Amino acid sequence: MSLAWLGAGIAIGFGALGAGLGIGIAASKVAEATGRNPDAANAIRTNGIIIVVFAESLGIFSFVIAFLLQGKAL
Amino acid sequence: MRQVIGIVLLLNGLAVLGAALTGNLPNWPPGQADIHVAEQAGTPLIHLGGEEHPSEGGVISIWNDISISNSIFTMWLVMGILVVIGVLSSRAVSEVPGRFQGAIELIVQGLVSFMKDAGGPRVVRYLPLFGTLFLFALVSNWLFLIPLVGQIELLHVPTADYHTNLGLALTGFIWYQAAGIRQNGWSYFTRWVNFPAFKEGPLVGAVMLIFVGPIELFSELFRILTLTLRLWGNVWGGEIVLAVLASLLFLPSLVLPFVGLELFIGFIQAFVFAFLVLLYIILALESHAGEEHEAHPEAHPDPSHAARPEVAHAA
Repeated sequence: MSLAWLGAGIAIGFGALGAGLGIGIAASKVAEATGRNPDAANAIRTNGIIIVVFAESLGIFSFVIAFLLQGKAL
Repeated sequence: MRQVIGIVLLLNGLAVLGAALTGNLPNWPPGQADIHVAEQAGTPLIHLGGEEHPSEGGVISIWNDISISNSIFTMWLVMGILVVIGVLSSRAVSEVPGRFQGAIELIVQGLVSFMKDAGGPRVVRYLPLFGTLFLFALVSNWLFLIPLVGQIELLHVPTADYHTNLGLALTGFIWYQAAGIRQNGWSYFTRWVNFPAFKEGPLVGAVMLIFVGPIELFSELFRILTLTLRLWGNVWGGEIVLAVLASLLFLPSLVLPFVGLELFIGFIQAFVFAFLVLLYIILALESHAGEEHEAHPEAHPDPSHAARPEVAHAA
């Protein structure tokens, strides 16, 4: 049963790794675009948030799975 | 500055001392952690049918518990807040708006202008759905600010219960399918069963029918799941983060920056939920128009189809 805890840790760890990489790449591009074209900062920020949310939701899925596994281990 | 830090530290010390004296200090004695973490789903208040404790053991159950749960009760409170604000703001509409009416008008105009930017003037008719989803999710997400919500039996943040989010997602799903069918008629179903593609050749038609259609259909169903879990995971996870931080650290006010973070996340997630439903509506409205556009470029000289940015395919 304790393997479920291990699985929960692996799930949230790798999920957060991937989501963090994705959000970092997207945010760096947003920063670059804002620097190149400061007039469009608002539109870029809105689009950036919307795109980042897709990467973030994958991290959230792994969080949910980790919590379900943790509930299984109890 | 130094005085402010001193006052904060003093208040923290007093809070920890008070908690220790009243026996409410979490995680003390060590090894007996008693962090009150919000439940995944609401607990039944009034039981109407089905099994008594269907979700014991962490199994996600949707069907076998029929009851009025605490999240439904809190949802009624949220609906009450929104209805009262709506009635108050529309009861005496004056030509020169007062401060309250001005604030409400600012919100509605912001939503309308955002919808126009995203999908053109024709999607403004979906303002009731978009605005309701946004405002409901926003008020629900921000309910955690109120003391006792999520801590006592009666109150549970509605969007921290996946049943509520599934209901919202299903509402959006049915609405955008209905919008697509209404706009495109029978040709809407060629998204999934694309017989007209056989005109391009048997191979193209077979690939469209066997591979692209099922993938499209699966992604439709996956949208419900992602909409549900994104909102639920963010709100519920945020509650857990706040509970853990407030009880693990012996400096309770360190949780305050994270309250700000959760405020931001609650706004962003409510906005994203409503915006994704709006995006699916826009995609459903344009479902078949793009292909017809390619086939007969002179038949539909509508430049707005081509000019619209298609962020949406990332979904």
